[in-house]
Amino acid sequence: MRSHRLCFFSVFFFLGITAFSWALEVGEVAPEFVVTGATDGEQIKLADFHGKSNVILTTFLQTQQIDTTFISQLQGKTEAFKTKYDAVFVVVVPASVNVAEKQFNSGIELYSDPDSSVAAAYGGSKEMHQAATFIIDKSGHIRGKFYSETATAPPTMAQLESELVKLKRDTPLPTGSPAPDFSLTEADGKTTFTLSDYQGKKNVLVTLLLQTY
Amino acid sequence: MDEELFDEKYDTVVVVIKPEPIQTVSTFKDPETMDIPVLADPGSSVHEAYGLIKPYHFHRQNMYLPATMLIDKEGTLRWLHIGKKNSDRPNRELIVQHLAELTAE
Repeated sequence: MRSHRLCFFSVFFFLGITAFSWALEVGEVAPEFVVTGATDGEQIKLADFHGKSNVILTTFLQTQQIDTTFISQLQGKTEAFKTKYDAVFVVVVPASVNVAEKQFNSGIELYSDPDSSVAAAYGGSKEMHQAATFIIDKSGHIRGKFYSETATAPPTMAQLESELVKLKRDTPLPTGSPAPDFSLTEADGKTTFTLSDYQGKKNVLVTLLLQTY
Repeated sequence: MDEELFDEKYDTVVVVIKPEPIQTVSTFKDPETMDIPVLADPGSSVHEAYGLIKPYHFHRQNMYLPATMLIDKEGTLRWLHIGKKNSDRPNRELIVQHLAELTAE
């Protein structure tokens, strides 16, 4: 799996006069997406992050919506969010944008959404006038959703952190909940056990021990 | 633990997770779990994702809870037994009971 540079997804959806229902809700499974790196042409998909990283997804639907201030803020928080919350930012821009002009020499990879499938999957449309950002946890579920009435008001870093901190649960997960996926290395140092590999095949009984002192 | 029985009769795989580096886990010896995959989780990510954290810190570090949990084929957490220490595990009868209930559905 490719090592991940910072990717920033900013989704700014604009609400139009036509009826719009925000189809995705917190708790739902996040739609899969595939996007292409603007500079390296490499594709990434949401499944790449399963069991590994939380994803903060933001998509710009129109060129004029690209919020350079927001992207700069994301750049400043990249390492901290990775360390504290195991979260990566993924920013998607319209394919029509000359992305090279938007790189800001920051090393932040921007991704194009050539057929607007990501925008469509996450409920956006060109007629929408609403900014939105989704937090997707390691099990592929939507854990946070931010949107505002204005097109240029993405979530603040504090707002993102207030949701990310919840991903580290401080109370036991209730039974009946989707079990967060995990992918860990076995004692032989070679084999990887991934919980989701057994979905549809086997039940899994897990004994969680404490550290040996 | 009767991991072969669990697999054949209850379609269940059994794993053990230790919140330690792979180097430590590879030398872990427990007669009760010798033949069961032991997974290294040095970042305690599973404890944190499942909310198995004690409500206090020790030297500013999170303290975790031992647990046994059953996840069904649909990826749903069906049973969670939280212990006070490593040896505080559900007995075999209780585990079989939950597996049998799951299998009977």
